[in-house]
Amino acid sequence: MSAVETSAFRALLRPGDTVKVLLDAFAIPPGTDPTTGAPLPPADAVALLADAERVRRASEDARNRRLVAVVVHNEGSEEGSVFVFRARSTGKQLEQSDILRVFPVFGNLNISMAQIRRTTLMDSLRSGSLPQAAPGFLSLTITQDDAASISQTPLTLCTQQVETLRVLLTECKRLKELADAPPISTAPVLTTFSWLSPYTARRAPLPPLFSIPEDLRIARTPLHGRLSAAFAGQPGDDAGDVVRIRDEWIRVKARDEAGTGATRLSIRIGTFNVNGNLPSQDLSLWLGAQPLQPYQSQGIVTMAPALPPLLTDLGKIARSDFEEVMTPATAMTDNFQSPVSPDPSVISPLAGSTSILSLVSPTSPESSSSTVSSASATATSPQSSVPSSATSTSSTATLTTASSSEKPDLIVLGFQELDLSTEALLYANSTAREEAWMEAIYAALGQSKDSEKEKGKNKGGYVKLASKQLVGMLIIALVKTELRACFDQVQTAAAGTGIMGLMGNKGGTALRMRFTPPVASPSRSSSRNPSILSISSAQTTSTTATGAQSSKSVKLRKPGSTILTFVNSHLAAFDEMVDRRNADYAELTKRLRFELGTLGGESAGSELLFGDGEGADAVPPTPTASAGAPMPAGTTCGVFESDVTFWLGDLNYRIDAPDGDVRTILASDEWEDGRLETLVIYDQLKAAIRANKAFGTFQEGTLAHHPTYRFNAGLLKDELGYDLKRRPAWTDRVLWASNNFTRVQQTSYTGHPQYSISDHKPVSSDFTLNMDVFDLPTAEKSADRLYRQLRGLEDAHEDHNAHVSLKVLESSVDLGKIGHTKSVTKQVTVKNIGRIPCAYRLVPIDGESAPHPDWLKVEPMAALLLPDEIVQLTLTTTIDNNCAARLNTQNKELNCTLILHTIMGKDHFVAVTAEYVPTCFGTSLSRLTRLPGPIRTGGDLLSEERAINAPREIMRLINWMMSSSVRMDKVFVERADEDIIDTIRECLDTGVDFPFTPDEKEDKVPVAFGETLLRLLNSLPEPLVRADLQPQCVLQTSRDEAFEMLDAFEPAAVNVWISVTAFLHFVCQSSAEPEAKTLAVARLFAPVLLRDDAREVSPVGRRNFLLAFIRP
Amino acid sequence: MSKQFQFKLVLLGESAVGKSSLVLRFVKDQFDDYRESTIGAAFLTQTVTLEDQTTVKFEIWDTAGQERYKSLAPMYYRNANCAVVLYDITSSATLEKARNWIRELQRQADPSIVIALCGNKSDLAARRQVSEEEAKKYAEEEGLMWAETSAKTGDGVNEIFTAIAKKLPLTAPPPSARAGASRPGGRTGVDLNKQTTAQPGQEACNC
Ligand SMILES: Nc1nc2c(ncn2[C@@H]2O[C@H](COP(=O)(O)OP(=O)(O)OP(=O)(O)O)[C@@H](O)[C@H]2O)c(=O)[nH]1
Ligand SMILES: [Mg+2]
Repeated sequence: MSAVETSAFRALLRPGDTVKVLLDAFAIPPGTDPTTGAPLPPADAVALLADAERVRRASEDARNRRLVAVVVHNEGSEEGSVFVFRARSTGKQLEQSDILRVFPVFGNLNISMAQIRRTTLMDSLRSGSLPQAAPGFLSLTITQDDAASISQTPLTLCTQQVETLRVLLTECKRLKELADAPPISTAPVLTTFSWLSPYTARRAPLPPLFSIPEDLRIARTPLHGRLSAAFAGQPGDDAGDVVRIRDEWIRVKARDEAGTGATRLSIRIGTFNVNGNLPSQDLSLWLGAQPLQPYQSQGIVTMAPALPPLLTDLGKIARSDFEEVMTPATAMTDNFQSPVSPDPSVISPLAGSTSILSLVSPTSPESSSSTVSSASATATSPQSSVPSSATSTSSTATLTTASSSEKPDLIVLGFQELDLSTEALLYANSTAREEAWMEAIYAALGQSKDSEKEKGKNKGGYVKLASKQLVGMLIIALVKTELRACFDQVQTAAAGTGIMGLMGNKGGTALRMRFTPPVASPSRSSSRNPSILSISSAQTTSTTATGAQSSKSVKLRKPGSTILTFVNSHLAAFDEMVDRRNADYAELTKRLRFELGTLGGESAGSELLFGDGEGADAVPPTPTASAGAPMPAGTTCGVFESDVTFWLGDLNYRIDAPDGDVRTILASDEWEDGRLETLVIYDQLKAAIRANKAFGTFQEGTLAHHPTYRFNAGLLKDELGYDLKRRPAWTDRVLWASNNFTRVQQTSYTGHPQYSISDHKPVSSDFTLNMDVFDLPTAEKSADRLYRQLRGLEDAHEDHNAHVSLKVLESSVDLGKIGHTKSVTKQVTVKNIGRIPCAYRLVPIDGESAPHPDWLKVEPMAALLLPDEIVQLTLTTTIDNNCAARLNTQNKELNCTLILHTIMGKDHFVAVTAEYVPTCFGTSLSRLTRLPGPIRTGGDLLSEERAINAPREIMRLINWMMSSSVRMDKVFVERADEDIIDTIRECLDTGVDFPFTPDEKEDKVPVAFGETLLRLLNSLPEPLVRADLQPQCVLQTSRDEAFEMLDAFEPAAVNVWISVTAFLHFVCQSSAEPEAKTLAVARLFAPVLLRDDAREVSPVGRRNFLLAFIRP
Repeated sequence: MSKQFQFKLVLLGESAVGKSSLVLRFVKDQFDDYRESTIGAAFLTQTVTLEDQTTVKFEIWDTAGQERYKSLAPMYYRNANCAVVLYDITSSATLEKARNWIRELQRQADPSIVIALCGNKSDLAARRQVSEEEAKKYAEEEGLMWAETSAKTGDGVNEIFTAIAKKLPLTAPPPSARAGASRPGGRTGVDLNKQTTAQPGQEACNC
């Protein structure tokens, strides 16, 4: 051991820790037998005894060299620990990462040794006897099997330094006796080996950043929301927070550094509750396998099944007719594009459903040469280039045609009630039904069911990737044949939530798969491998998410992959069982688990912490722990540990509006435009998402199709075909959740009313996934480097007096005058003036508060700063109606103190002040009528007796619009100009005259006035027709009765109601089409004048009440 | 085996009386002639060892003395085991402020809190406005510890902290000074009933 080494080693230790003994040793790498090639057993002591040759070979390789040190910490009492280091080749500094194992000397620590080849003597620390000095190799095995220790694996090393080993053992024995001595007092002792934590804490590896995606529920929570609870003077779990902030930072940065572009995957998702029926209609429409006229929800739903019946002889029909029509655009197979394609269509949103993956690699010379060299890399339209076998017409296919009719890369279908027989429930192992549906699916896709077997002829077709059935629930994934190789690690899961909470009549089945974009390499980019794709740097600029593309050149060696998860579920039925559905969802998110432990080798494995475990890994453990060892058996993961999760199925959520209302709204031609929007407000699933009772992590597209349940072939149906005994509902849904690295674009979401197989209609949705492509080895290396760069961050934890040093350049911010409309933005400069990285987060003043008031937004709420780095803290005012309603009645001087907590360091205060400018928006009717003048002029409120009849602001708006020469044609039709609205509002608040003169040719100003009126009414803290009066209002059946209702209103409300409805009546009357205008106006104003925040009053009734006043 | 205790200590007093300077002297044995006024609160630690080898670790919160941040002070003195209230011997107004703080602590803080009144800047005795007698008398009336210190010269600094350490109840286990113990494995922000995924080694270091 050289003096240099010894001192380098000492430099690693923290002050106060001293090295007592330093032993030069070496590890035995696992290996193969040089003669037979058979893998050798792990290097345990017994095996080594018999294999002196292996030991000798290991001793000659410098990479195996290890240093074993006894380190003693003395703070009042002595504690010791055995450290195992990886020795660096000369010249290189030892680093903390070289600490491989740390064994605290206490309890069950056991060091046994044996002599290789020569007389075997096993000796242990416990027996106290020491071996004789002997030449040759000695093996030592360190075991620390106490549950609290770092690793359970014994470590076996070899050494030649017999004398040093003897000293080491003596020292350990002494320390162990010390540690095991009964404590002198029973007083609370705060330290027991806590001095070791700095050494071991920084060995805590990053979570497997690139193999198992972070739980989507966490990934979708802003960083700040993931941190521990903390407030002024009471830091939370700073150490944990630092890890969370750090990991997020590294994850984004490493992927960014390794980014080579983006790739795309198109997915068609379908869900169908088949009610126990067999496929009796052609499925191609549902599968999107023919040129879709996407079902538009306008007008009346046609019930006639206009679909060709499914022929039984599937092999023969094979959709030959469709094929002819579709070939140009759909036969999208081999596809090579110019790497520098200037074609703007590549970034056009219309290209969203481009079927094939585009590996975007702006500067990689390797991949560009590979594609250029391919024969088909001509300048054909990227969407339509086809293999040479296709006709040349293909290249002229227009973009629109191509994108709307291209075949998806992946098709995932969820079925429910596949089999309703009792046998199915009891012995759920028949695949007969699945086979029948598979046959129909293949037929719809234009393939024969055997096409899977005849792989060669299946070009452009699909193969089944996986399926999973549980009683009536079946999920199937099909992938384009040429992309099959991009998917692996396909796992399935199932869970029943039905009878007794377990039976499979309800529940879910799920698939999880890994998608890895293909690497373009010259040898593979022949036309035989069409999935290797091309390159366009332009595409990346259209991406917006965090992992922003870097322009640097990263060579793509092994692309990182994307985990896709699909859940098909059938939740509890019946209108009133919404809580049960929510519970089923929660249950499924817990119980649907995929077994990862069975995935082998290159899988999403993560390395063990102290990787030197079996004594001898040649490669030092890296903290990023990514690929490598398989996961331990029993490792499972849930549906959220995914980059993107789709949830489809018969979720059974209903519409919480009166049955009559639902049918009226769906069928009556009075509801034209707003029909579905009106009903969606009452959808139970949307409500569950809003209240975060279920599916809180998910998003869903706009429901622009009619409810898909329940249809009845018999007599008991309404004019739309809905069963009279069941309230129509959107039971069949497709939702998704994704992280920032995976951008999901929904390009269609629709029901298919043409099917009459079941009492449900099938639903389909098309998605385009845009995923960053990054080079996995580069990302891992970056993460490792970044991790080292951040090391000081954790050091600070051990030494609160250390150097985390953040400077907040502005300790106070005056936002000036702030109001309801325009937001004010100011910045505060935060700089890391210390020598180590440092992180901050905003904390509230106490457990009950938020870190900032509701009128202020602060970004970023948590951040990590490298030394000298600057972050601009942006303060933006956000005053919505609710907030204005409160502020209008309060002191105008607003102030708050933001507390910026430096993790493991100081709290900084930023005092924020502002002057609130009150507005009539968000002011109650009773207050508006008691204002002595315009709200800005201030003054004491008038007494209740002296209150004015109606708010002057509302009357001013109406009066202006009623003046003779104003054109009202476009009012409530066209979109209003925000600037004009602002001017109008300002005039209302200040009392200044409107700077507009009525002009017969002018539309913009009246439109803005109309919109301002609508918004002002909507901003009233309480609706004009109070919530408690609304149930009565909707019961009135005649105009007279409706007028009588007004007696129950407060005087100001009556006046406003009369003025507003009279004005609306006038507007509708003077319209060219009074009836249509009336309906449109009622649709706009009923939800405002009779605002129903609790969603309890009939939307039809509320509208009828208003119509009673404004109908011509 | 020696005993180790941990206590939360808070420093209060008018701006510029030398709170930050006193902590800096105690923790790092340094002094700056020009210190920026504290806008926020700083957290530092220092350990004192008593004659019987008992160690007392102070977790010190140095607060902002400026009037505008006064409303935040309670956040920092809640759960404090001891408080050092500072005045500047060259300004009688600062003693007035100190009295206010002491009254507030007696009303609001933990009843068992140990309070020390400290006359800082004793090196500036020539400009003294507050006599030792006056301050001492007040401290006795209120049952406070009292001393004069100089963060500049270091006079009296270690002594007052050691005296506080001795006065603290070293027999019973100290009340947990900080709610969420900022140790690895403390509570986490998100509990998603996450089951054991492949993160071996996360349980490391209970050693
Ligand atoms: N002569 C002398 N000067 C001192 C002493 N202690 C502090 N000062 C000076 O007094 C000034 C204010 O000291 P700070 O420690 O910043 O005071 P503070 O109480 O922390 O003030 P805030 O942070 O504003 O609450 C600085 O210029 C110090 O150098 C002392 O003991 N003697
Ligand atoms: Mg200070």
